[in-house]
Amino acid sequence: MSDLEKFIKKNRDAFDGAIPPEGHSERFLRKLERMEHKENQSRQIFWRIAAAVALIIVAAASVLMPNFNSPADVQYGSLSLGDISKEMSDVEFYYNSELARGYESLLLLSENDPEVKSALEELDRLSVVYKELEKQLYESGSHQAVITAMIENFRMRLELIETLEQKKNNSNNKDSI
Amino acid sequence: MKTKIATLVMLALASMVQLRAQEEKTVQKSFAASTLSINNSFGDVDVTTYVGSKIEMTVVISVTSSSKSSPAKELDKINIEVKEIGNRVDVSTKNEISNQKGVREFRIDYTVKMPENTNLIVKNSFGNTTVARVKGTLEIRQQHGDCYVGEAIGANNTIKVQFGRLNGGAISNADVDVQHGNSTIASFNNVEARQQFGNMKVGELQGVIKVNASHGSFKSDRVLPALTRLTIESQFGAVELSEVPKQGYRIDLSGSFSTFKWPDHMKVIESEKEITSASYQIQSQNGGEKLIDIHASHGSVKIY
Repeated sequence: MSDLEKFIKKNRDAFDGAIPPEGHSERFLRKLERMEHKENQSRQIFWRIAAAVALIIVAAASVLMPNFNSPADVQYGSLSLGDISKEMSDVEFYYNSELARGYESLLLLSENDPEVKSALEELDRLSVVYKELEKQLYESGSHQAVITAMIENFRMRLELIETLEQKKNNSNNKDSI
Repeated sequence: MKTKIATLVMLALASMVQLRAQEEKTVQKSFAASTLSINNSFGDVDVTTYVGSKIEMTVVISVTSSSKSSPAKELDKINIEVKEIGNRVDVSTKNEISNQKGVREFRIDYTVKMPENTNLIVKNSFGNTTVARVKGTLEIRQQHGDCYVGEAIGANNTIKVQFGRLNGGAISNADVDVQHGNSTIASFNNVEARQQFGNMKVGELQGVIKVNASHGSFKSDRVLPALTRLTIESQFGAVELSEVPKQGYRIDLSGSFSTFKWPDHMKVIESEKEITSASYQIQSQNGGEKLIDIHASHGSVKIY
């Protein structure tokens, strides 16, 4: 404990005798309000600047983004057929839905059929190749040859499913005779 | 259904056609080297051989663009990089046209004239590769395009084709791998071949041949007497061997869920047949030391 503290404690009564001048509390409260107001003002300025910066970024992005690919494409470094045009999006949708249907029907057969199992493995490999093609589409600046290869990949997978379905249907027919 | 999707694809492709402008530039190089390596995408690689000492190379780069973008600017973004290390020259296409909006069409076509003893390595995709006749080591890795090999008669060759056809003349001492495409080859001599999801047809077989075929057929027109051993592993496809010599061969056939057929002039030495599997050992009338060994699963084997 310092000497000053010891002195104050020892002479506490002498210190309690002084009364604050009139209006001291009001003045003190006004000062406090002013300080809070100043703090609020500086917060408002900060948020106004932040909003202005955000607005500038959004405006700049809306002007510049059409010249580049979408943020998701940039993030993953790949493009899908649907990113090329509305018509390509239709093609992609058609094949994806047909493949999903065919894949499901093959899955039902795969447990006991080694040929189907092997074909399903190949379908998975072809899907991986398709993902690679999506990357190449992005890297090539949407080259026509990659688009053709992507459609060919879809066609190949669908043909594999259809050929197998046909083969299995034929063998079922033979068994039932 | 197929007509519907064909129309859809045609419409989609037609929608991408716009007013276009084209620009091209030509790069010519000449080297004295024993090994040439070419790494390309989006164009053809055409290699011929000649009696000479230098490798002469011409590369034509062409860009076709819509009226919105300048083909000349894009042309500047495609360049040929050449690295010469000792007796080896590595040539590769450098393309900086990525990450831009709109459909692109550009080509980088290589035409090479080289001495036939030159070792050649070609990696090409989205274009075709044609190699006339190579006596040196040949290594081709081709994707999304066809491959034509006139003659590969060097000591050690590799030809790998994915998503394209392989057409070849005489192929010797090679490792051949074709996936998702058919292959038609005039002759195999000491070859290990793998064919998946496509059919392989070889005119003549000689030397030691090993074939692994799945989801496609393997057919040969003629087995030459110079064939000492042929091993075929086949899954989900047909094997057909025509004109197998009447003298000097033993044929081992085995497999499951498969059918086997052989010529009448050959005699069965041993056979074993279960419900789903079978094995046969047959041979020429006077026996034989050369071996044809075929194992089939879910397929058929016919020998004529």
